[in-house]
Amino acid sequence: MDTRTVLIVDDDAALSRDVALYLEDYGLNVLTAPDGKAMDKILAAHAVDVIVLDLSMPGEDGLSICRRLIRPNRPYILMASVTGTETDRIRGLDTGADDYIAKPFGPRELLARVRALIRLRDQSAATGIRRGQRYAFMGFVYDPGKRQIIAPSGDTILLTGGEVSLLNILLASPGVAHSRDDLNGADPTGLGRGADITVSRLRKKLEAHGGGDIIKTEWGAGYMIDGAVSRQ
Amino acid sequence: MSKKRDASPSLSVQVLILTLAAIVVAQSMTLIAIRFAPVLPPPHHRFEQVVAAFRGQAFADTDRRPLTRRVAPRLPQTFRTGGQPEMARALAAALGARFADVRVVRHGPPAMIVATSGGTTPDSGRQGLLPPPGFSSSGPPGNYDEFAAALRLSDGRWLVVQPAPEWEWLRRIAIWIAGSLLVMAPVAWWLARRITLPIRRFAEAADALGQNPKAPQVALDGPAEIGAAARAFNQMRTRIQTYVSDRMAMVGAISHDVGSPLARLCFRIERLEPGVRARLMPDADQMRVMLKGVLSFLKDIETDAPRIRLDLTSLVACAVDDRLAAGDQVAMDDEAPSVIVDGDAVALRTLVDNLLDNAIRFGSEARVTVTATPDQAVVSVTDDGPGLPDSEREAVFQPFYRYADPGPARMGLGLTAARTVARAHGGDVRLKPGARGLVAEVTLPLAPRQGGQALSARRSAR
Repeated sequence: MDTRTVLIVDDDAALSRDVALYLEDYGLNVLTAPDGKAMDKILAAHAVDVIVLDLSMPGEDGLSICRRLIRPNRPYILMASVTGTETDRIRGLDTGADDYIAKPFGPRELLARVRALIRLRDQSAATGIRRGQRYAFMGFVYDPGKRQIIAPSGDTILLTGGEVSLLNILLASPGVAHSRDDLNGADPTGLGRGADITVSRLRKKLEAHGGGDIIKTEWGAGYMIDGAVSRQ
Repeated sequence: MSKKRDASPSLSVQVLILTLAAIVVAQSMTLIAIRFAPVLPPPHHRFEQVVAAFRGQAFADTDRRPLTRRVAPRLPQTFRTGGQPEMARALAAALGARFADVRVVRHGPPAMIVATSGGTTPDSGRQGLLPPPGFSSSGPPGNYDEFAAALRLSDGRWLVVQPAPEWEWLRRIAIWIAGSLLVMAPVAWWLARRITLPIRRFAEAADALGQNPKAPQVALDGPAEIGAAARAFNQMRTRIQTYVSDRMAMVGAISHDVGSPLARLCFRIERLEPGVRARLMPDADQMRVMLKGVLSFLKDIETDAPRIRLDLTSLVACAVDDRLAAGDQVAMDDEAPSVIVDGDAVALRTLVDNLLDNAIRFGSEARVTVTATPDQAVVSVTDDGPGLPDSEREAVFQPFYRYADPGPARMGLGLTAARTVARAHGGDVRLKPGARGLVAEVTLPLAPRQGGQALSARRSAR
């Protein structure tokens, strides 16, 4: 795996330096920027995979940076905020951040999140299912970024990591059956307790909201979603 | 605080008016009864009947107030006044007794009977004791139903004959009172409810505040007394809120300022050689987790996120899934029904996470169930830990309160936050003893049913 680049945007230069040193120990290429302007210069010159973005900075804050960064193939954004709140998490995700981490974060926690985002970026590149995009099928609307499905009745169904991975694969190629081994192997984040269990749980969730026949079983071929999937 | 002048009169005035009105109504009804009740016909007793009664002979008597016969040791009080010597003489002659041994008296009937049967004169033939031929009755006009006659027996006792007492008017009064009660009770109930409505509203508002500090202020309308109580209550509430938020702000400010250097410290420690790191990291990490706990608690109780219709079961499943990924022992029933609530997904997730966190920390594994009653969603988290003594089961909900915590130090805010979230959703969190450990039970109101979705929720709730 080639070296991935992480950009840390934080006005606390001392923290950025410590974080950078730590992440470099784990084979990541780390760049730091104290504000939005410095970030723009770095983005113009380097290919960045993940940006760790501080929410509250003097001058342009993290939310506004996040909003203007929305474009295809932009780096994945991990929003960090010292006010460690879930409300900020929602706000951050709504403005296009891909994940959120509460400050003061621990080194391992940060590393795990950054790695998870890099994996998601890889999966997204492979399947074409992107966060920030929504996918409609048979009355249901899937939002990979928020890890949820809105049922036709308007009820919100929350999805586990495994269910998100499964849906990403199935929705990326509607009408194509994926074998159990395919699903287990193609998913870099892992489907938890195996494709069969994940499929049966997701089916059950959808069935409770009137979508019992969305995920079909093709005998000898595997699972698939047979129907039109449209982007919103 | 809006000090709007309330239109309704004070409670004292309302109760006074109600009492006076009740008196007026009751008296009016009595007067109506007196004026319009049918006249009670007096019984007729002929002289011969009285004589027969004294002799103990059988005779045809009236159905109402028949003549009664009794023996009294002394002459009853009733013979003190209203003596009828002429009739006594006639009776003595008829009975073959001495005049001195016979007494006859006549009394006017009770005032009410007089009023209801007014207009009757002795000449109308409706008087009670009809005199024998040749005698004329004396005394004032009116009914003379209330006559009594007595004969002294040989042993000095008196044999008394008089009509049975009049019970009809008592019966009428009883019916009238019962009828009035039946008619007035609903009205009185309605008025009483109306007068006490502001008190009940006030109590409800006070109760809601006790459960959720962010509840809206108590409304100041209603009677003057309630207005005054509400103002005092609101002032107290503001003082408490100021006190709590000041304290929280201070703790928050400290946590916030310590956070950044602590984070840097953690990253530096992480890069030290393993031996040193192993000795420093746990403490630094612990401080960091505590700070984060405080900061997120502060923010959680200030959060007013929008509510969405949410599949609570899927939310719990996600929380369980993340625990399993982290290597914790958590079991959840795969057949749990889909339960829909109106909620803030992030706050509810914090609630479930906190309960799972406790269950895993105090026991080795957690069991999670999601069920639905007709109007509530119930999430139960059962652990296999040592449980809690009864006395601690409410205390552990207080902020910063910790009981026999085996793990690394925490701030003691998990259950506080969980209950805050549940109550903000109109539900609650309670702790109960389980078969082995402790059961944390969350109740949340179900989302109102809507159209086709309601069917599926009901079906799967079965």
